[in-house]
Amino acid sequence: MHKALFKKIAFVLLATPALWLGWQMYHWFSFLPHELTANPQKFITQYTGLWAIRILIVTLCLSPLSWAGWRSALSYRRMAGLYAAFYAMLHLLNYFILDYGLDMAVITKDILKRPAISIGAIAAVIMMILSITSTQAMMWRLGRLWRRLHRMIYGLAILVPVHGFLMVKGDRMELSLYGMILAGLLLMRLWRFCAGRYRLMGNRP
Amino acid sequence: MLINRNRPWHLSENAVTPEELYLNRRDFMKAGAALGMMSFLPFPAVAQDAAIKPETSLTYDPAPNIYSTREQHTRYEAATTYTNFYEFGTDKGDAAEKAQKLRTTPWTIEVDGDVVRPGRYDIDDLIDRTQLEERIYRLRCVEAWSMVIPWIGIPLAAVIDRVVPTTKAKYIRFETLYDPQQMPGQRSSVLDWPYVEGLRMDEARHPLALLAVGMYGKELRPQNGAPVRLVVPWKYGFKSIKSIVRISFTRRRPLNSWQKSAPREYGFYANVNPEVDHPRWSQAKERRIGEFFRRPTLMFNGYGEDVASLYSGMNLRKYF
Repeated sequence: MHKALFKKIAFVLLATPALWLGWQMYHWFSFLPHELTANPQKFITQYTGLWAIRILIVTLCLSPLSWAGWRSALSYRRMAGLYAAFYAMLHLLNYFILDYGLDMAVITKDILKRPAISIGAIAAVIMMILSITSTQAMMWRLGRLWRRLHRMIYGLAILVPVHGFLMVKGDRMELSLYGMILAGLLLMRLWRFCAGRYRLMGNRP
Repeated sequence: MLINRNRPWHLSENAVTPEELYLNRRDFMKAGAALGMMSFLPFPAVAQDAAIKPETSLTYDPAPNIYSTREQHTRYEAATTYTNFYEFGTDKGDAAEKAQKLRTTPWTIEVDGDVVRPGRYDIDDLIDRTQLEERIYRLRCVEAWSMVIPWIGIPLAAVIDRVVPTTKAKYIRFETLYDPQQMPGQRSSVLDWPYVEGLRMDEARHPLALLAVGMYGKELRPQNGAPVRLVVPWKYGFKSIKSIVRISFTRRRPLNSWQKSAPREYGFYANVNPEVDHPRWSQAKERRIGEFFRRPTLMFNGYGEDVASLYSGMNLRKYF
């Protein structure tokens, strides 16, 4: 009962940044005062990108939290992961449509020529694959492969902050912080994995 | 010869939102909501921060300048809230928020180097207020956005002539105020403070190069580089250094701040060039602030006819 309620709260919380953005965009398109700065497309790029990485961090925090004793943490994993992908898609749509007006010549050149953007594109493809295969039905169908496939999120934990770090001009404090947190979350997993191996080999920890 | 006529869509200055009102827009809206039925109260009922210097109108030559573009001005509100002025923070809105208490009077400028009349000049001794003219220029930021701004100032050449550089002077170097007390952004090391920019002497003497003290008919706001800034419209915006406190005449090419911070990405010349991309983004197009889609970027920001000869024979890919 409580769990269902908490889940609903989490669902709404994770949607809040997008709802705010939608509200502001409504003002923008209605020529009303808004908070998207004088260059809304650029603002939306940064805003959606930052929320994607923040929610990716939330997603990757859930497993360590479950090890620490929060039993139901794992049941939030899919929702959080899908939200991270959702903000990444908004980021992508804004880049394609609002920012470049589907100018495919420029976009293709950007993706092929600029490593920072190529990395973002790879991350976007991974996020799409993970989103599509996130359903219960896909879990059944893919079986053991599903687990392996979804380990690609560890790749995202590297690609996403690198993409962000490379795209930012000037102040890289925030992105560096996110990069360090993600690195820490990966190291925790590596540590646990190695400790598990060590025990399997018959040693006491 | 260009004849400048006011187009029907040209906003007259009195149609622009008063900036006190703009700066306090949130308070204004809150107050407006609270007042509700009492909305018949006149605007001055809204409290104004006493520390914020009110805008001062400037007197300038009203004759349209041959270098002025007839394109539509960027909205004053956008030009005063969307700025790169890392001395106050890296967000575009930081300077509009944090620069308002910058003390701009008195303001002195140190002139040194290979110059006949070095010294500490009061700003009014260096910039003759009776000679002010309006120049409506395109401004192209290296981040691929642009504005059209009616600046008020005097040609940089006039100031150079006043202090008389020696023949040894090949470059001019500018420095922004360094005062972390007033400029909170300088407490972090995003750039190596103080901000430095420079020009080759022939670039500096070009009639397009302007020392601006105002825009939109008024004195510069602190976020736009008060009390005096450079405007070099054929170069990326970061060359147009703000709040200048030092002008030096040098034999060697000055190392400008952005080049120092990322030499692969920002050069000394920084001429607007749609064919030479920034390593991380394309410079082929730009977003004109206020327009929805990007428009093509013009070579030398559209000032090629006037400035291309300064760079004849130079490889602009190498000297970006």
